Amino acid sequence: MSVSAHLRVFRYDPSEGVPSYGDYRVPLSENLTVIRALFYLAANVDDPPAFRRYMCNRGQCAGCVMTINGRTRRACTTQVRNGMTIEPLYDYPIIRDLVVDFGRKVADGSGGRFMVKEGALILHSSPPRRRALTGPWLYMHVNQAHCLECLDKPCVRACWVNQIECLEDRDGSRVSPYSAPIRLREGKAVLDGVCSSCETASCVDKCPAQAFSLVADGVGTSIDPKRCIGCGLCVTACAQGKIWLNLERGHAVKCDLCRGDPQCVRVCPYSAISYEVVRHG
Amino acid sequence: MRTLTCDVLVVGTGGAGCRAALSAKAAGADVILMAKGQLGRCELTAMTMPGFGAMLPGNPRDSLHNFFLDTIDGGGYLNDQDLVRTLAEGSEEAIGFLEGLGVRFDRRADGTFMFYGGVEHTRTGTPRQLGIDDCMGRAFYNVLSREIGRSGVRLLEDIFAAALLTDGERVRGLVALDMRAGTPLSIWAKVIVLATGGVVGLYQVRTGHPRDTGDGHALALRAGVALKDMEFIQSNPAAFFYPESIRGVVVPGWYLVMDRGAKYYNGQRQEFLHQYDPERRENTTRDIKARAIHLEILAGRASEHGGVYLDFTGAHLDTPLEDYLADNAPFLLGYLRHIGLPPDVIFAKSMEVGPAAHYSCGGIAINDRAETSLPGLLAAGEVTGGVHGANRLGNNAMTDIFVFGKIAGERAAELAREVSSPEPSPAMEAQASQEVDRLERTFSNEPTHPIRPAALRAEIEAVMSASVGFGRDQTGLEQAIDRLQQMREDMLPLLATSSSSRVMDYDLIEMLELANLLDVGEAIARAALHRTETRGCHNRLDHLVQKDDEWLVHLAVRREGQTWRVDRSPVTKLPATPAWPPAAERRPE
Repeated sequence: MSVSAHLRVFRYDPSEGVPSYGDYRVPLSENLTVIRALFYLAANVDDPPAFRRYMCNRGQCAGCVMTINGRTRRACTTQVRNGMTIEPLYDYPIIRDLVVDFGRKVADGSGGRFMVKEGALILHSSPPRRRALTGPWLYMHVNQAHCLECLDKPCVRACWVNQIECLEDRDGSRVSPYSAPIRLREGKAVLDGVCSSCETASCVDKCPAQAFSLVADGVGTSIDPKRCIGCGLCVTACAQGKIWLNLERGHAVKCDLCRGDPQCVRVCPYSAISYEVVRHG
Repeated sequence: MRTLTCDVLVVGTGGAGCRAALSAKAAGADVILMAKGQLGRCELTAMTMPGFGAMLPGNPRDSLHNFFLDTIDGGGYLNDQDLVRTLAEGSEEAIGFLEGLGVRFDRRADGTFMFYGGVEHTRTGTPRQLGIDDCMGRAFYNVLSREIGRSGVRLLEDIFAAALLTDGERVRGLVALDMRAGTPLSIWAKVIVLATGGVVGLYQVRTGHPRDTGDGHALALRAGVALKDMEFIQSNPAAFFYPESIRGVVVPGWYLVMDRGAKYYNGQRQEFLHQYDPERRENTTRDIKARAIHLEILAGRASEHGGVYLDFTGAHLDTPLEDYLADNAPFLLGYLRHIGLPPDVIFAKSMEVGPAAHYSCGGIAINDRAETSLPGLLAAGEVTGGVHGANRLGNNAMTDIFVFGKIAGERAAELAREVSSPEPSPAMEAQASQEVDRLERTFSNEPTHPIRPAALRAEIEAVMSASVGFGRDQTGLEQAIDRLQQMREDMLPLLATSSSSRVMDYDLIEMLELANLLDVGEAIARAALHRTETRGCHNRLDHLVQKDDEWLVHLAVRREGQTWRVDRSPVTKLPATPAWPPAAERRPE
C-alpha cells in the first residue's frame, strides 16, 4: 500500500469572502515537492486549490513562493511532509487560495514610484520568531562634534555596499552613488542605512531561499549572493528600507556590519563613528 | 465587457516582449504589455542560467562574420541569413541596453568582459559567451521590471490571449481572458507584437515550465500566418531522467565540464559519442548528442530508467568537483540540495540523464524587421522561426530576444503611426463578441462525462514524446497526426473545469492552451513527416542522413480552415559583399 501525506491548504474565494482550510491527501513519493503535490491535486481532486501553475525547474522564478508551516518557502524546493499547512505568502494581498499579487512597480507621473498590489484579504505575519527580545542588538553612532568634514570621506568609500554602482531601493528608484548604508549630509556622515539589527528581522523570515545568515555573533544578518534569487521580498519587508537590490547582479544587498568589523568605524581618522553591541543579561 | 485600446499591444513579458514594449514606448507609442502570469515570475527568460552570445569590440578573436558562420553552421545551414546578420549586428547593442539599465556581466580582473568557453565547439571556435554566475535571469528581471514601471508601459498581468481579431486586411486587436476576474477582455490595438515564447510544454520531459504552450504559434496559425521550421525542437542533452522528482532539471554545471573529462555512457557502460562525432565527442552540438542518446536508447542500450549515464567523476579540475560547481553553478546545486539531493549524492555515481525538450527553433515566419505576413502583426523571440535554422547555437537565445525585441518594438511604433485609430468598426465589435461567446460556451461546458484538462494534457505529452520527439519515423508521425486530430474532435469538447470559481482558475486557461497545443503539435508532426532527412534537431529514423541537395529549404506550415498545407520555401541567402563573404553551404571537410 502506498504511503500518503495529509496536507492542510488555505482556501479563499473572494466571491464567498470566508477563508477556510481544506484537507487533502497526496500519495507520497521520494523527494516529492510541494509544487508537485499541488499539481497532483490540480489534476485529481474536484475544485482544487488555486495556485500559480508554474514550475521553472530551477528554483529561480519565485512564482511559487508561499507560506509552508508558517515559513516563507518556495513550493518547488520544499519537500512534502505529513501534516503540512500550506498558506499563501503572508503580507501580500490574496487573489484566491494560494495565489497572491506580488505587486509591480508603477511610476506615478511625477517622478515617484510605488508598488501596486491588488486584492483584499491579507494574512499578516505572525510575531517574529527568530530573535527573542533577549538577543544582542547594535548601537552605532556618529559623534557629530568629532565628524570633521574630512575631504576624502573614507567612511563612505570604505563601505562595500556603497561601492556597488547600481542599487535600487524599495520604491524602485535608483540610489545615488555612495549613499546606501552610510552617506554624507552637509559634509557629515549619516548612518541612514546601516542595519539597525532590529528584533523583528522580518527580512530573514521573508526570504524564500534561506539566503540570510547570522553574522557577528548573531548581531547582524548577511545575504548570501549565491543563494539569493533576487525576488525582492526582503526589500519590501524591511520596515526601514535598509535593503537594496543590486541591479548589477540581480540579488539583494544589505549592511552586514562587515561581518562584525564595520569598516566605516575602522577607517574614521577621528574615531567619530562608534559601534557597540548591547547584550541583555 | 472590459475594453482597452492602445497603439502597440505586446503579448508576453519575456525578454523579447519587455524589450519590444520598452522600445515601442521610447518611440512614442502608447503600449500595453500583457502576460499570462506576473512579470518576472512566469517567463523562461527569468530562468536563464548561463550564456549570452555577443560580438563585442573588445574581443580580438571575434568578428561579425565569425558570429555569422558559427550560427549558420550550428543551425545546419538552414538559418535565414539576413536574420542571422541582424542578430550578429545587434548583439553589441543588446549588451549595451542591459548594461545601460544597470546589469553588469562578469568581468575579468582587468575590467574586460569575461568570455566563457562555449557549451559546444563551434565552427570558428570563438568564445563569445557572457554570463552572470549561473543565473542571468534574475538580474535581467530586476532591471526590466524597474524600467517597465518607470517608462509608463501599461502592464497587464494574469491576462491570457485567447484569439486574434482580424478584418481580412490587418490585425485589429485580440480577445483575452482576465484571470484575476475570470472575465473576457478585448484589447484594440493598431499593431500587435507576439512574444509568447516556445512550445516545449508539448513534451513530457522538458527543461522549461508547463505554461510554455505555443500560444503565439497557435494564434498566428489560426490567423493564416505560416509557421516555419517547426520540426526542429531542440533538446538539452543533460537533463535528469531519474530521480522522478527532478525529471527535466538540468544537471548543474554540465556545460562547464564537457571539455574537462565528463563522459556519457550507455546502459552497457560503454562510451558511444565517438561513433556519432569522432572529433568533438562530448563537446559536440546538442542536436548530435540528442540523436546519439536517442539512437542508443532505441537500440536497447538504455540505462535503468530509460536514459543514458553521465559521469562527472572522471572530470579533471583544479579543485574538487563539488567545490568547482559550488563556485560556478551555485544556484542549481542549492536547488537540488533543498529538494533533498545534496551534491555528494548526485555526483558520487553516474547520473541518469537524457534529452529534455528545451527550445523550439522554428516558429512564425518573420522578415528582418520582425514583420509577419499579416499586416499589423509582428513577432519576436522564441515564437519566431528562421533565426536559428535547424538547431540553435548555444547562447543565441538571449541574443535573439533582446535584438529582435528591439526591432519589433521600433517597427511596431513606426507602423502604428500609419494607422489612424485603434477604435474598432461595428463589424470588428461583432467579431469580438462572437469570440467572447465562444469562450463563454467553452468555459460553461457541462458534458455528461467531463474530462479534466490535466488528463488530456498527459495524453498529448505522451503522444508527442513517443512519436514526435527526438526520434521520428513515418508511421509514428502519421499515427500521431491521427491521434492529435482525434483528440481535438473527441476530447476537446468534453473538457470542463471543476473549480467553483472563475477567479485564477487555471483549468480555464489550460482548456485554451490544450487547443493551442493540439494545433502546434500537429504543425510540428506535419512538418516532421514532410522532411524526409535528418538535420539538426530533426531526427528521422527512417532517413538517417542529411540530404543537402534536396532539403536545404524551409518547410512552412499553414492552416486554412481544416486543411493543412506544408510548402517548401527557400532559405534567404545574403548576396556576397566584401564585409559578408559568401558562406559555404556545408561544414568544410
